[in-house]
Formats: sequence, structure tokens, C-alpha cells
Amino acid sequence: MRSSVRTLRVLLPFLAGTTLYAQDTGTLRGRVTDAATREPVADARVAVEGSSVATTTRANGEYLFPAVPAGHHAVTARRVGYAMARQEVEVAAGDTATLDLALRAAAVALDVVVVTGAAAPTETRVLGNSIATVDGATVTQSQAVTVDAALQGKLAGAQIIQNSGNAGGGGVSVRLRGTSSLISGSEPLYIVDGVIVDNNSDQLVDLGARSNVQNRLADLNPNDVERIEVIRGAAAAALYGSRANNGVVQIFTKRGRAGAPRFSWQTRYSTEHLARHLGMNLYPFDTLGGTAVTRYDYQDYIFQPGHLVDNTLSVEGGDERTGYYLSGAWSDETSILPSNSSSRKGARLNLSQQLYPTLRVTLGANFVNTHNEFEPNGEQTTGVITGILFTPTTYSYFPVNGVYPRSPAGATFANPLDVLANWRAPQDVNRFTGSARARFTPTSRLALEYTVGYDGYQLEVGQFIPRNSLVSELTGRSTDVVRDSRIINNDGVATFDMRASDRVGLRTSLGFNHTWQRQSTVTASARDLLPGVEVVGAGGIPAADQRLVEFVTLGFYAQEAVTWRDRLYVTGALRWDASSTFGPDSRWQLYPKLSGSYVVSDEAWFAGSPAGRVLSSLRLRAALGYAGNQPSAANAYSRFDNYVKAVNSDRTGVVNSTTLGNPDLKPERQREWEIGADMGFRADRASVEFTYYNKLVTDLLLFRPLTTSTGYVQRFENIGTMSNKGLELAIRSINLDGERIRWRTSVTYSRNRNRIATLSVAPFTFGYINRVQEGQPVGVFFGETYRRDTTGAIAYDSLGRPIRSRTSAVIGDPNPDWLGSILNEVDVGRHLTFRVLIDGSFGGDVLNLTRRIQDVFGTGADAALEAARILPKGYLAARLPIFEEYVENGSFTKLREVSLTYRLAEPLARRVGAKAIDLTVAGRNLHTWTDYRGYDPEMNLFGQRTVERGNDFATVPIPRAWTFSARVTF
Amino acid sequence: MSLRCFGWLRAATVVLIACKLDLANPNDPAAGDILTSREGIIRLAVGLQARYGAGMDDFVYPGGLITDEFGATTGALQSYKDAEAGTLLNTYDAVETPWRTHYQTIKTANDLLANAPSLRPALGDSTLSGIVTISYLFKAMSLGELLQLYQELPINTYADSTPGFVNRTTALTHVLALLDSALAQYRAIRPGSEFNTTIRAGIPAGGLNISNTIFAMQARYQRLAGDDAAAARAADSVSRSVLSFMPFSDQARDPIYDLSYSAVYVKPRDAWRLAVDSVNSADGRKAFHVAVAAITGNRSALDQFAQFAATTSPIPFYYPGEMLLIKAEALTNLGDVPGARAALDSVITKCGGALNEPKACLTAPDDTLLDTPAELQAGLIAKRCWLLYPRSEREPNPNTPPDPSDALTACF
Repeated sequence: MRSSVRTLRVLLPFLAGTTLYAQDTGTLRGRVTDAATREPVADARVAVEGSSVATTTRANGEYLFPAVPAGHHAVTARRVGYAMARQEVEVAAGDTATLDLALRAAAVALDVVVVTGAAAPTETRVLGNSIATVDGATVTQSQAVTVDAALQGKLAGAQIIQNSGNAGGGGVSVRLRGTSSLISGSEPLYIVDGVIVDNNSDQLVDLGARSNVQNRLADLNPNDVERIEVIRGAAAAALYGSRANNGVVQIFTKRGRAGAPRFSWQTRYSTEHLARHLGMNLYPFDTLGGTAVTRYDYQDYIFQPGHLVDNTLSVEGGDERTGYYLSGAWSDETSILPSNSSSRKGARLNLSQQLYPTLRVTLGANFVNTHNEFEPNGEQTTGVITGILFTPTTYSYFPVNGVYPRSPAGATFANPLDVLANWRAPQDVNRFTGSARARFTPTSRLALEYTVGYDGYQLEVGQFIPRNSLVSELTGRSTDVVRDSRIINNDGVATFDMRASDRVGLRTSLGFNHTWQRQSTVTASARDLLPGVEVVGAGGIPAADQRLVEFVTLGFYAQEAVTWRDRLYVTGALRWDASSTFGPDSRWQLYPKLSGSYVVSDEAWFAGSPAGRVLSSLRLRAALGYAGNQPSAANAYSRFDNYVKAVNSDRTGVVNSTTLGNPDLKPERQREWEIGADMGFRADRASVEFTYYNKLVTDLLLFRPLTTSTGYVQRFENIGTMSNKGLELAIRSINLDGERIRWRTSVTYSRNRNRIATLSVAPFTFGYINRVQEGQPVGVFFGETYRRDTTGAIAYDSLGRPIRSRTSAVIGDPNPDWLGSILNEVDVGRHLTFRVLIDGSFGGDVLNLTRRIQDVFGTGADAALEAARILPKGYLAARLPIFEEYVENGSFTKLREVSLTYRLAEPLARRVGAKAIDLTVAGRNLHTWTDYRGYDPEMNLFGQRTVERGNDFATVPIPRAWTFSARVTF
Repeated sequence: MSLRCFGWLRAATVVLIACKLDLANPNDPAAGDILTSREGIIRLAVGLQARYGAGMDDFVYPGGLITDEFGATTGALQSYKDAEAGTLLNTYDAVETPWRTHYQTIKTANDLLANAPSLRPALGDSTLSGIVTISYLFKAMSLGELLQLYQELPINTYADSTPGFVNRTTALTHVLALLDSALAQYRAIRPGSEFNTTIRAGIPAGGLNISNTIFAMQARYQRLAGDDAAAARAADSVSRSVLSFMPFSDQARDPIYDLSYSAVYVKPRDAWRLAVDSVNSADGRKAFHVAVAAITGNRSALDQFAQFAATTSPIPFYYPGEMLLIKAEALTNLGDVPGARAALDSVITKCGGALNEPKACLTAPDDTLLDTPAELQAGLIAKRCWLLYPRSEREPNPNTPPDPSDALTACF
């Protein structure tokens, strides 16, 4: 530490010489309003051009600069959804100048300032890559439980799937521009206020084998979000080096706007309902002409209406030097399965202080406790929904004399009613995320920024199986797993702006990132439990285990951005990156990027050109970049030849791991180029953003099978290449912009084609029948087909049952051909807002394992047809091995969001002591249009897994939700 | 450690030196930790026996299913049902696991043979001798089991990613040489108390009896190699009053229990050893092996394994009675019919005694029992002669021979 102080002492005199001082300054103040409605615009960013002086407007639209150097200045005001306003003003020393600015709604977003992937705050017009921004209001309006689910339908190039309908978000997986890895994870890198945050979805106990019921982004309160920036591939994310293959999602939380303390209470109540019933075998006889039987549809017993209560109370305020935002939140959700719940309690404090004119310090602290109660589902034999599918509908699961009958399906199967009533799987997360950032601007040209981030949580997961509930666990079992996860990141960046001539500007950035990550998982379990107690200590036969994983990533980068005549921008950068996961020889990797952006419409000749007659603005952009991907925690030590435990005679022994170490392990490496254009029409009242991208991932990591007679089975190696090519289209239009009515429409279209270009190992099957095969998209369904006659029709035997082909082929593809969404927002007068979001996924297949298992146990609607002999006897058994039967068209269109907001008239609000009151009625996932026969085509048994996509197997269905919410501002 | 990287100026200037990128695996020891240290070698010797023990079901059930000794349950995976029908794919467990697990045992034995001798001073002669002895012995036993299931096999697999295959005769010679080496080492320096109390499989007592197991394996594989005199000699060297077995516990569970009771895939057939059942129901050997349970199986009614009904049930390396049968067969081949008959009679009349072994307990010798070697639990291949070569070997190893024909030609 002493050396840092010494260094600072050396640097200070040099820096102080160029610092701005308070003398010769004046005050600048004013108000920013909406040009059409004349309403004040809060949260607009007002800046003095050519300096680092900037602020955001208060709730009443006012801004204040207490110390602006005297002289002539150009002042800009920007806000997402508006065109930038720019006006000039004369500020006299010791005097106060007033400048009001009016913002005009615009669909073109060239002037939005973004940070992600750009080293320093940068206008989007400068970037050669596309970047998507979503503001906080859009997140809260979605009424989604988690931030990632709130992004559904908002972004082109993003496939966002809620994997299940469990409480607490249900687990969400996000694919930006397709899949970029096989087993090393395809989820983007999440950064919250500069802190790399963990988005792990490990469930740690067996709640459905390979599903994820919640990913840790669920710990973030959507009400705290101010805006989100999303970059989708290597071309934009090269500066993040070996962690950025899957894109980067950066979330900014509210910082507190200047003004008197402003309290806000956001509250909502939702009810959740099963959206669709599964067809069950309710044929009243055991078979045609047979004896009458009682059949049960247990869906009527295991599903109930769910409830969600969510409250956030926040206060924000400050002045031009200080900003604070403090929030406390509490939410409680019970899902449509009665013993499935999630509650979240948290508090956030964001504080920023201008310590000196040259030094601003920003602190952020977020503590959250998430408590969940889950139960097993999915392919898990003890699953609740699984239980009703794995047992003939004639079987009574109801308790007799208080004792639940055991499942007739086998020793490892459970009675679902017993599970709901008596089993427990609690999860408890205590998480602290904090950041400290110092921004030092010794001159208007030089900015030094340093960020330290910490994200740590303890996740405790339990599972309790009572005695005598499960034949395979007759004496009961209690498990407790504690995961301790910590990530510390240190990021520094220096940015120097230089005007080489009046035409050429240069911005040089130098930076480094250091990330340290540790994950410790301690498992304790016991069998032979004492009655009445659920903890591990109640057991007689204990077992324990621990696994510890540590990662270090270190990277340096240099970036040069050249501006020519403020309309042509070229940016080049190099990132030099190392990760502890890789051996010394292949550890350091270089990730370059180069991009260009040309705002053609700023050329004087443009307006008179043929294009200029149609377009109000035009920007052309192109970008090329490289990024990498590291192995997941499970394969963190794959470079080592390790020996593993093997016990004999109660003595700990050791044998070679059957996975041979690979000292030459390298990161997966992505090359991406993209070209695109941003076009404005009708005076920028409509915009079209078009992007074509081409990604090639080389050095894909997968296990290469080894000759088993060597005593090894496999080695983790770089074994193939995969490409993603696609189109993204985002259309925004302000259809009407009057004082009385404003109507906006946003449309997204995304298309992606994934292909495993080369694979140096034999085709490999993941999960059930998802396959990795050269020349095919990742995860195609590969399984047995129907035998077909010469006309291509399915062949049947003499009894009318289908015939197996006994050959396997590619029978489906879970990757959708395209995704689309349409969002309409209408503001009527000052009081009413109506919005509707419809989104859909088209051309992707879903493997309906739920229906297949209904065929196995005769519990589905088709089994009723067979019992009634409408289908011949043995029909279902005959088609069981034919997986082609169970691959269904998973295309769907969803009525994702509908909401109506009423803003109370101000006098009315004042009467109850509030400044403003917004009341909203909203619906989420209200309707799904699909040919899919299961609960919902938009789920996945395998959660966030990469290859195993599109599997539906007794997963908790995503509910239809109605919400009433209120936002009260004091 | 990485916390050293705090302090931003320090981080900016000395981050390269301060932030360690070489992180060792904190969960599992590295090869160097094991192969070059006294404690590592001792743990590896324990692991050798753990590995062999964990795979003891793998040379029992494939043959058992194929010969109708055992049957697949209704809930068994399709591959087990197919194995019962004699139809196999080269990816099935029945084909893959015997190969994989026994070559893993061989790998560990090779690790020990290659590295333990250089630690002689640290280990001490008597501990080292025990380790080397069991390394030869377990390697021999694994190869011996493999050559009963696969037609050809590699014998030199250490540090060779594409080993060549040898025929059965060569493999047998190799197995016998390994057993000779084990015996020579055992006789040269007797394993000491450290070896016997902390390394040799056995809780709390008993377990692996080294010398008797070496003799038993010599008898078994000399007989298979056709050296009947040597087989009879070795069989006679095996003590009839000692049981040599692999012990199991809750931490290292009996794999046959796991396969049969836990996973519920394979169980003995109700008609197991039909001859015993139909000819003489008084023969105590069936009750020793099979607990009648009348379970509906995939193809036939099934019973339970009587000897492997708990996670802690030990699995014997051989039964003393097997030695008598080997002796009888060897003496018959050598022309000593009265000697052979005497050996067989002693199998049939065996009754009482403390040893937990099959006892026919029949009063009068009965010629019809001559073809019922109940002491040999499994290994007779009826529906096919040989297993396929596993795909996991075939794909990366170009030396893998063509698969044996499915025809039921002479198996030996």
C-alpha cells in the first residue's frame, strides 16, 4: 500500500497543474421538456460539449451546473427514445445562465451513450458494432419475476427461454446470436455496475437431474434496474477477452437523480394460473368392453392458483455533487405447485460523490436474501409432475389412514402427493454485491477509472426425504449443501482524448482486468433419520464431500478510436488475456478487434442524394473481433493429470482420473464479423437497424475418447469448429406523436443458422437424443424413424400399428429458424398508457418426452384412445422406440405482455399525499398459439445446458399471470 | 493470494507478478504427488485393490446374462435385456465396462510397478514387496478375466495410446508369467506388518490372502493353458481352510449388490443350475448362492443373490472347492481317473465347517453331478463365444482386430 501512496504523491503535482479550478466559472441551469407534450423529462443526460461536465435532470426536468467555465458552450441533452437536443449558451463568470432544451421523440438512437465493450462512455454512432439498450421502465413494465425474463421479446438476436414455471423465475437461459459452445456454457457474461456477477444455475441437490430451477441473476431486483446494455458477440465484446464468446449483458442500477429526497413505492400483486391442461387417460373402462374403473387427473390436485406479492420502497436524491439511491425490497411468490415458493428480501445503496472537481467516487452495495422451497420435477423419478405421468391414472395416490401409498412404478419412484405434503427442498441465498469506482479526470482530456467489484454469496440447499416414503430411501435421507461463491474483479482504464486537427480526433484507452473467482461446495448427507427432525444430524449414516474451484483471469488491452470529421469512426483494439485454466504455453491469447462506423447522413451532399430523399439518417457500420470462452467450473482443472479417490477396506486410496490431463488446453475462440446499417425515416420518427453477423468458433472444447485399454477414458481437448450466421432487424416507429396521443411500435426479427462445421471426434449424443454431429446444427435430435413405404407414408403392420425402421437419423432441430416480436405502446393523454408485446419462435422442434412417458405408462390422452380401441391394441408400445413420433413442431406465438397504466391526475395524487400514482393492470404469458401438444413449447428440461435444447419432460409449466401494480411517488 | 492484487496502482504496475495464474487443483492430487512419494504409492496400492473390487461385477454379469445363469429384470436398461438375448452392441455396458474397468486396474498396477521400486528406501523392503506382489497379482487377475471374455487383447498398455493385440495363448503365457513374478516376489521378501495392516484389502480381518490367491490363479490359468500337471500342483497348494475375498463397506460398496439390489438390473435366474435343482434338491450349493424370490424377470423368473444381499457383502476371489474341480479336470486329462474321482467326491460330500463357501453336503457321490461346477459362479458363454470389442477401444485404436463372429464355434 505504501508504494501506491508514494506513486500518487509523485503523480499529483503533475496532474494538478491541468486541473479545472473554481475561479472564472458561472452557473448554468435549465429545464428539459418533451417537445410534443411539454411534460418535463427526467433522467435526461445534460452535458457541456468538449468537457467532462455532465449531469442528469431531476424529476421536474431541471438541471444545474454550479461551476461551468465562463465562455461560449454547446450543451446537449439526451434521453433514450428522444433525438439529442443541442443548443449553445454564453456563460459569464460569476453569473447564472439559463438554457431550456426540448427533446423530440425519435426512433433513431445514434446519440445514446453506452459503455459496454467500448472502454469508456461512447455514443453509439462511434461504434462499429450493434449494441442494444433496454431501459429500466421496460424491465418493470414486463412484470417479469427476473431481469433476464423481462428481456424476452425486447432484443433482436437474443433467444431468451424461461426453462420452467417454478417460483423465483423458473430458470432462464439466454442465447445471444446462437450457441457458441458445446459444454463450456453459452450464457452471456453478466456485469452489474461494473461487477462481474455469478449467474450459476447449479441446483446442488437432485431436483430433476439436469434442470435448473433458478439461475442466480434472479437475486437482482428488477425495480433497481436503470438500464441494460447488451452486446451479442466477439465483434463487440473483444475487450472482455476469454469470457466474452457468448456476449455481455451489462446492467446498470439506479444511481439517484439530483433533487430533494424522492420516495417511491412500487407494489404489485399477481395471480398465476396453469395455462394449459395436459391430456390424460380418463377412459372410464380399463379397456373397451372391460370393467369400469375410476381414473384420476391429478393435475386437478397438484396445481393451484399461484400468488406473487412484490414491494420495493426506494428513496433517491442528491445534488450536483452527491447522488444517492436507497431501496429495500421484499417479494414472495407461491407458484402453481403449492409447495413451490420463492421469496426475496434485499436492500441496495448506491452512492456517488464528487470529492473534488476532478474526482468522483461511486459506491454500490446490494444485499439480498433469497429463500426458495422447491420440489423435484422433470425426469427425476421423485418428481411431482413425473409422478402423475409414471403411474396409471387408475392408481389412487390419496392417503389411507394418513399414510400415503407408495408409487407402484418402482423403488425409486415417489407418490407426488406425499412429495408435495412431506418432502422439503429449501434453498437459501445470502448474497452481497458491492462495487467501488473512482473516476479521476485531471484534465478534460484524460480520465482514469478504477473499479473494484465483489460478488459473493452463500447458497445453502437442503433436501429432506422422510422415512418410509421411498423404497430406495426407506430410512429417509437428509442432504445439506453449502456453496460459497466469490468473484472479485479489479478493472482499470485510462482514456485520453486528443484533437489531432479540426478534422481528426483520437481517443486512446489502456486498461486491464483482473478477475478472481472461487467456488467451494460442501455437501453433507445422512440416511437413517430420526423422526421429527430434518437436519443431517438426524441421520445415522453420514457422508460428506467438498469441491473447491478457483479461477484467475488477467487481461490487458489497448484501444485507439479515430474520429474523422465527426462522421467517420474507426476503432481498433488488442486484448491480451490469460486464464489460470490453461497451461502456460497456451495461456496468453491475443484478441484483436477493428470496427468502423460512417454516419453518411452527416455529409452535406446526403440530403440531396437519392438516399437522402428517403432516409432522414443513415449510418453504415462494420466490425470484426475475436473473443474467447473458458471451460466451466466442472472442467476447471482439465489441464492436469490428476489422481482421484478410491476407497478400499475403509482406507482412502487413489487411482488415476480416467480423464487424462491436457496441458495444451486453449480457450474456445470466436471470430465474428458483422455489418449493418442504421436508417432513419420520416425525420427519424422511424428507424431500421439491420445487422448481418458471421461467427466462427474454433477450438471448441469437448472430451475426446481415448483408447480405453490405456486406463483412461477421455481427454478434454479443442476438437472442432462451429458457425453461427444470422440477421437481426430492429424496427422502431413513432406512429403518432401528438400532444394527446403517442403511439410507438417496435418490431424485432432475428434469424440464426448454427452449424458444427468440423468435429474431429465421432458424433456424440447429449441428454436424450440431442446430438453433436459435423455438418449439423448443434443439438439436433437424432433418433429412430418410422418405417415408411415407397410413397413416404408411415408403414403399419396388419393390426394397424406403426413399424420401427430400426435406423436412426436426424429427426429434428431444436434451434428456431427465426424469432420475432411486436411491441405496441400507446400513450393517451397524460394519464393512460397501453402496451402489448407479442413474440414468437418459429421453426424449432421440441422433443415431447412428457408425451412419450405418458405412452410408456398409458397415462396420456392417446392411451384413452387405445383403451377405447380407436387406436389398435399395442399401438403406443409399437411407437415407443420411434423417437420421430415425439419430435414436435415447437413454433409458438405468445401474448407475452399486456398492460394498461393509469396515471392519476396530480391533484388527486396530492390528496393522498403523493406526488404521482400510477396504477397498472397487466398480464404476462396470457396466451400461446402453438401446435405443440405439451404444456408449453418454451421450456427446457436441461435448463441452461448448451447442447441439450428443446426437451420437455414433466417440467413445471410456465403460468399465465395477471398483475395489479401501483407505483406511488412521494 | 489474489487479494494481493488490491490497491490499484500496485495492481496496474505489478499485476503480472502479483497475480498467480498457476493454480493447482485443490481437489485431486497431481500425478507427481502420487507417483513420487511414499504416501502416494501406498494410497495407490490401496486404490489398486479398490479399482479391482469396484469392477468385480463386470466380469460376472456379462457372461452370466449370456449363459442364462442370470437374467435381466423388467426394469433393466435395454442393453441388459439385449445381452440376455445374446445380442450386443459395442457400446453396451456389458461390452464396455469389463474392458474399461479391468484395464484401469491394469493401469494402476503398471503405475505401481513402474514407480514404487524407486522409492525402496522410503517404503522399506517389506512394504515395497507387498505392493509389488499385489501389483503383479491384480494385473494378472484382470488380464485373466479379460481373456475369458474377449478373443484377443492388448497386454502392453502402459503409456501406449494404440497398443497392439495378442492372441489368447500369448495372453495366457503373460498372465502366468505375472503370477510367477508375484509368487517370486512374495517368496523373496514377505510383505511386512505395515503392508498387512494398512494396505492389504481386509476389514477387520481376513480379506485378500496373497499366497493362496496366487496359487488359485495359477491353478485356474495353468488349466486354461493346458498345463494340467502344473494346474493340479497349484490347486493342491491352495489351502482348503482359508477364504480369500475382497471386502466391501458403505464407502466402497459391493458392486454386485449395487447392480442387483440397488440398480435392480440383474438377478440370478430361478432356473439357475437347473441340473442341481432337478436332480438333487438336497444339494446345498444352490441355497448358498440363490435366495428364492420368484421375481418376474425380462425373460424368466428371477431370484436374489444370497451372497451379495448387502452393501458390505464380500466377494471371494475363488472358492476352495474350485481348486478341487480344477484338480479333478487336470487329473482326468493326465489319466488319473481315481484321483479325479476322489477330488470330485470331496466336493460333493463337503458339509459343515466354518468357511462361508458352497457346500453340496450330499451323502452319496452321484455321477450326474459331474457337470455342475457350482463353484464357478459365472463365465460359461452359451449364446455367443466372445464379447465384441468395445467401441471405446475400436475407434481410437486402429490395432483393434475385427469383431469375433457371432457363430457358436468352439469357444476355447
